[in-house]
Parts: sequence; structure tokens; C-alpha cells
Amino acid sequence: MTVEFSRPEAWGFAALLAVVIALYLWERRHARVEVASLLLWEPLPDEPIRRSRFRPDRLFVLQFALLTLLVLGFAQPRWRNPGSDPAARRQIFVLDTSASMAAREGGQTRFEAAADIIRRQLAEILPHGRVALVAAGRRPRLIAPFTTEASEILRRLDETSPEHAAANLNWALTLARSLADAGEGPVEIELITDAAPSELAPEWLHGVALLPVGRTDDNLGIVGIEVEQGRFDGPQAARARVLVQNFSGRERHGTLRLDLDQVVLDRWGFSLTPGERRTFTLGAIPASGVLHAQLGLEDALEVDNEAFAWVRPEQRLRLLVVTESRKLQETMESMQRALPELECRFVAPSAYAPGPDHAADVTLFHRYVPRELPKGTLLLTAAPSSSPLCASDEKLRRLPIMDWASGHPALRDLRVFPPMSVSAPERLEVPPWAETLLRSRGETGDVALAFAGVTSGRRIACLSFDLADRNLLGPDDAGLLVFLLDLLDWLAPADNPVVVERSGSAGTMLATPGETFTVTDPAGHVSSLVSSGTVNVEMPIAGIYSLESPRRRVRILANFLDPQESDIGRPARAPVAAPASRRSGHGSPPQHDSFDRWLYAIVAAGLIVEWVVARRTQ
Amino acid sequence: MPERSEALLESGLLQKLGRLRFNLAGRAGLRAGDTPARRETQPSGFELARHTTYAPGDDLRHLDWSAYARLDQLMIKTFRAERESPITILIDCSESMRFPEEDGKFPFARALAASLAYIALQQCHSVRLVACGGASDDCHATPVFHHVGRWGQACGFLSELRTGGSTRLARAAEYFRRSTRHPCTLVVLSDFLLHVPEFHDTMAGLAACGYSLAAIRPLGPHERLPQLRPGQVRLRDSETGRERLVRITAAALRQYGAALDRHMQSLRHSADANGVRFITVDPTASLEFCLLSELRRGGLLQ
Repeated sequence: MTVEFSRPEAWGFAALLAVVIALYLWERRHARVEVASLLLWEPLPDEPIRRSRFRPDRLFVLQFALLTLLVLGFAQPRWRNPGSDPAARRQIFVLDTSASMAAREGGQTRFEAAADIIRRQLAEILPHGRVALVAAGRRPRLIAPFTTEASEILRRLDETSPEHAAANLNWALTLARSLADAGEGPVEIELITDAAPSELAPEWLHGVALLPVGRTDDNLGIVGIEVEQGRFDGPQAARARVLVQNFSGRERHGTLRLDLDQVVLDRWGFSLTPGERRTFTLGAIPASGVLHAQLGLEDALEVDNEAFAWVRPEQRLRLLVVTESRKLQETMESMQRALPELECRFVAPSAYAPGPDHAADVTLFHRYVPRELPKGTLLLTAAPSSSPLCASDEKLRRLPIMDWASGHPALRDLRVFPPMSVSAPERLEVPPWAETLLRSRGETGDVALAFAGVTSGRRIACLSFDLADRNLLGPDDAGLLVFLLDLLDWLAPADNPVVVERSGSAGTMLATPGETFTVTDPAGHVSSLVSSGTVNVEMPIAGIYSLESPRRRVRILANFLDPQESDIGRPARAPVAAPASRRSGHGSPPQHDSFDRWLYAIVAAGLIVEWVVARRTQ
Repeated sequence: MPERSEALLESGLLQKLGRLRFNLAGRAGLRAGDTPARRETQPSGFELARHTTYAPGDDLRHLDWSAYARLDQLMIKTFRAERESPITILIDCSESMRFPEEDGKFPFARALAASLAYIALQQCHSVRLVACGGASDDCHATPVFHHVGRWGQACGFLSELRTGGSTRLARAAEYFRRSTRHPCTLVVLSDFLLHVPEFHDTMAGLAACGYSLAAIRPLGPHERLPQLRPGQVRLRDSETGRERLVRITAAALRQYGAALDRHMQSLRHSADANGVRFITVDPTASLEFCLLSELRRGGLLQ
């Protein structure tokens, strides 16, 4: 074992030793006492002059030794394994940047506490070792590669802040592991987080040093907000719901305020028991606009104290039905009477021609596909088998609807498709740009009954079965009617200038290639995005994002709605024990053991001894 | 004015001093001039000492006719000699009196000299002050003061004294003898930091001349036990300037203390042998204590 010093510059304090010697010699030089007479001092022997030049007494030796130990302590000595190279030591800090790290307790946030821990450890590791920094957010990223420069780490640390999303800790640790494996030499990975160990994959429980931060569970949050508003409903028909939960271990009181474009709609006072959830509902919203729900209380985490929703204005959908079927026309007219926002026009195939006269939001071709397709949005039903868009068999069979794309917006209102059978061809060619919406199974395998997708910048849907054969207004086909309306909504979505997303995610929006958007985030920062056909907007923090181009303006309402992250006290309740060793790392055991504190303890004890010796000498 | 003379200005202490008297070996009388000279007679006086045979030239007024009638011989009466007996206060102004400074030997000696002068003048004794040493390293004396009204002049003389030079008791004694016609009382205020044989010889010489001697040695606590830090120290003799490098330890200080005790004891023995009152006083104590207690206990005052 050898000794190395973390702060060799502290040896400059060794100059104080020379000061001590100089003071001693100066004191000795001036230790001249005038006495009345040497007559009575005759019995004392003379001290030889030469040897008296510098002859320290035991008090001086003790003081010199104490000062030497103190200087040694300042230099921060540590033992070092003879076989290891201090310069090869690597430390990777994985810093949790999830939303819960913004919880404030003890005068600082958990993130600030974690940053302080890193800053303190930097002094021990650098400049001999190397340090890397990984931010464990929704998408973990390497924010500082291995470096020996403390200033670089500190700068990157200052530029980092918690996101308004959950962290992917396992992914971040995988990133750290790959970074460790890419280099040589021992490395230690330290995860600083407020998550419970049970949230980590088992492989990390013993391979990573886990440093927990945060204790409090004092938090109430909005865990859900939605506006129920049909495609063809105006604000008056919409209903807003806000879900609030108490995550703390004691009863909490607060208020919930609901604004519509900064006009207060309603306010509730409430008391919630520990863990209780409560829904607050508001109907008959007077107008369209951005709905803002805000909690009025003091708790540890602020990010979940507000949420946004969008109340759409009334918006018509123009549907051009190209059909010869009187039954289908009557059905659609009935629907129009029930849904004032649905505006239907009917034209016979022989009279149809693409052009401004037949412009519509959606053109429904029934049993007919024109040679020249219009440029707008299309819905094809029972298209001829030879049509290029909905090529199929001619032979029709009775096929039950067995499966559906429940995640598609056209099926958002149907959790379970009602059991029904349709008369449809056994084979429907689904283009590569489309997604099968309804599926059945025939003799030859799966059979697509309906598909939809986007091609050439427009949306197209195809139903292999004939709508005219259905009784859409009857009780048996209610599901099919809902499917049709939602499909129309998807085909011609309301011109929605507002999109609701989750913070921490990225929103994608269709846009004209080359269209330039100016993006303003909730913090007021402005950036620019150029569309390549779509525009991807990162939303790391909750709030309202504004995208503006010369042609349009879109707002994105990013909400932080994550009950698990809002439950900031969950680690304290986790039953799983912490990892075995706090300092166990990936690689060899720690090679450094600083013993400067022992030196300080010896100096403190030595000062007491020095006092006793000085008293006795006097 | 000496530093301590400010205290003498207090009427309370002066009144106490006024009640003190010098105790000069039982020969001091209560009346003015009532100080007989040892082994001496004079032609006139109050007290008949003896008769002497008439010799031509004697004063015929002192013929004792009664003796002539009885003895049929001319006899002259002689009387007990009543000499004016001044008290000389000799103050040592050598440099050693300045150390250790914490004890304040020299200021105390000046104040004590002033006090003794006051006591003597109050008793109608004549007082003379002699200082030996000082800046000129020589002896200086005041005129003989006969009246207490001259006490201020005595204080003025004392206030101008400064330490300097070395302790030369023999030279002081020689000066004293030459400047004094008749035996008197000599009070020596000194630290007597000299070899004992020199002290002995000097005192013996003075005693042989018939002087009534008293020696007052100021010895303070810092001189008894020097406050020196352990370790090597360069000691410098204040009078000779000689230096010695010694190692101060507890044992060394004990050695010094023993040497001091031996020296003091030797001085006392020598003083006793020569009929000298040797009194040790504490210069750090109050002047009143010294006068009313230590000097009375020592027999110099009553």
C-alpha cells in the first residue's frame, strides 16, 4: 500500500513549519533577561553556546509534530493499492432527472441535494480519476463523457434540471454500463435517485451503488384531466373531469380552480384522506378554449398541481356521399338531422366529377370508385373489386368481426366491438401505408374488413362491406354507427389548433415539407423547426407550447399526469431492502481510503496533550 | 517627589509617622539635643560627667569650689558631651536596584528614605541623605536638614535620583566616613548584591568608627522566585553587563533560591557580628506596612 494525496497543493502550508521554527528561534534570540546581579546565579552551570543555537524542547517538538500532521491532513492522504493506477479510476454518476426529483424538502429540491452529493465526490475523485455524468430521464442521455475537468462536470450539472416525466432508470444504467465497458480500468457506477430499489431490474441491485435521496411524501396532485366532447359536440355538450389524489400519509386540504382562458369557471374546496382520489366534474362549459385546472395548496411537488385540457369549438364536417343507394342516402340524412355538425350532400356517381363543385371534407364513394380520384380525404365502402385502392375478391361471404385495432382513433369509443357479421369479400388487399381496422378470419386466414391510413398527404379509409346493407340507425348496428362517426372524425379531424399531450414526450404533427415553425415553450424559450412532412416537438416540461408558421398556429398542452411520479413518498414504503453495499461498484473494490480524518483526530488529541505539557513546563 | 511620597501626603499616614521614633540603641533621648556622644565630655552642659585637674587655660567658671574646699585642689567640672547626632540615610542607587522591575525596589527605597527622613525630622533629629551610584556612579549628599520644614527639599533630592553604576558599598562607606565628623546613625537602603566579605569588612569598619548602623534590604517576590520561562535564557548582569547562558528548569530555580537564602543568611550573620540591624522588607507591600510593622519588628523604629 502506498500513500497518495488528493490535494498536493496543500503542501504549501508546510511553509508554516518554517514560520514556527523562525518564531522559535526569534523567541530564543530575545530570551535575554536582565537580572539585578549574576551573583546569585553562579551555582548554575553555563550552557555551551554552540549547541544552543537550535535545541528544541519537547514542547516545540510536539507543536512541530502537530502542525506537520495538520498539513498532512490538508493534503488529504489516502492509501492506494500498489497495482492500480489512480488515473485509471472511473466514476459514472447516474442522476435521476424524473419529475419527483423536483420535490422540495429541507430548503432544496431532491435534485439539488443530488447535485451537491456529486459536487462533494468530485473533490475526492478528480483530478486523478475520470468522471462521467448520465441523466436518467424519460430518455436517458450522456450529458458529460469521461473527463478529468471538474469545471466541465459542474457546468453540465448546472445545465441539467428535472424533467416533467418519469425516469427510465434501467435504461440509464444500461447506458452507463455500456459506457463503462467501452473503456479500460475499474469503474464505479453510482445511481442517485429517489426511486425505490424495487423499481430497478434485479441485475442492478448488486452491481450499482445506490444513493437514495428524498424522504417526504407530502404531495397532492392532479392525476387526470379530460374533456368529453364528441366530434360533433359543441362546448355546451362537453363535460370536463379533473381527478385529484392525495399521496401523503395525512389528511390534506386544498382548493381546485378551473379556468377557461383565464376566466374562472368554478372553484372547489376539498379535504382528502391519505391516498384518497376524488373527481371534480364541470358541465355546460360556456365556450371553447383552454381549460386550466389548478390546485391551491402548499406541497412538496409543484409540477402536478396544474393541468390543461381543450374544449373544442363547434366545427362542421362536410360529407359528400357519392352513391345511387336511396337507402344509404336516407340513412345519412337521418344522421344529419341528429348531428347538426354533419353536413351531407349527395351526388350520383354519374354526376360526380372531381372539382370545386364537389369539394368536401370527406368524400364517401359507395360501390363506386372514379377513375380520377379527388385529392381530398376518401372513404370507400363496398368498392368494386377491381378498384386500385380496395382491390378484393368478388365473392362475398358472411364474416364475423373478430378483431379490431383498439388503439386506432377510429375505434377510441369502442372498447369492445359488438358482435356482428358483415357480408364482405374474403380477400381485401391492404396497402402498405394502411392499418387494418377490422379483421375477421376466413378459410384462407385472416381477412381484413376495413383499413385506413395516410398516403400522399391525405387520409383514406376503406370498408369492404356495404354500409347500405346495414341498419346504422338500428340498435344492432349502434357499434357500427359509432365506428363510422369516429372514422369520419379521423378522416377529417376538427381543425384542432390545440393538441393535448403528456410532458416528457415528443409530439408529432403533420405539416407541409419545408414549413417553418417558431416554437415557444412554457418557459418562454423560442426555437425554430422546419417540417420534413412532419414536425416533432420535444416537450420536456409541462405547460403550453406554441407553434406558429405563416400558415397556422398550433398549441400543445403538455400535462404531467403520472400518479407514480406524483407518489414521491413511495420509496419509503418500498418493502425491498436496499442493495447490499452502498459503495460496491462495477469493477474492483474501492482502492482509496482517505485517512485525513484520523489525522485531524490525532491533532485534536495532540492539542490537549500540548496544553498539558505547556502547563507543566510553566 | 518619589512615587510613594504621594502617599505620604495623606494626612493619615503622616500622623502615624509622626508617632514613630527611631530606636537608636537606647541612647536616643526625648529632649532636644539629648543625644550624648559616646566616651566624650564637654566643658559645659547639664549633666556632670567628671572632674578634671585644672590646667591653665581652662574655663574658670567651671571650677568646682566645693571640691577645692574638700580636696584643697583646683578641679574643673566637665559635662556629658551632648552632641548633635544626625541620621544619615544612605540609599543605594546602583543599577541592580532597578531589577526585577516588577518588585520596584528603587522606588520603594526612595519612598522609604523619605519616610525615614520625615520621622527623624519630626523627632528633631538632623537628617542627611546620601546617594551612591546613579548616572555619575558617584556619591552625592544633601546638606544636613534640621527642621521638618526641610523635608520637601529632601524629597526633591530623592525624586531626582536615578539608578546606574555598580554596587560599591566600600566606596560609599568611605565617603560617609570622610563626610562625617562624629559618629552617627547610618541607615543603609540597599539590595547588598555583593560578596559577603566585602559587606562584612565595610560594616566592621563603620562599626569600629562608632556608627550606629542599620541595613534595610528590599526583597520582593519576583526576586525570590524569578518568573523565567523554561529553556535556555541569556542572563545579563544589570551592573556589569556580563552575560551567561543558562538553562532554566525547575531545578535551576531551586538552586537560585538556595543561593539567595544562603546569601541573605550570610549577610545577616555578618550584620549581627558587627552590631548592625539587618532588616528585610517587601517592596511590593505597602509603605505603611513596612514602617509600622516590618521596621518596628526589626527594631529600627518604635
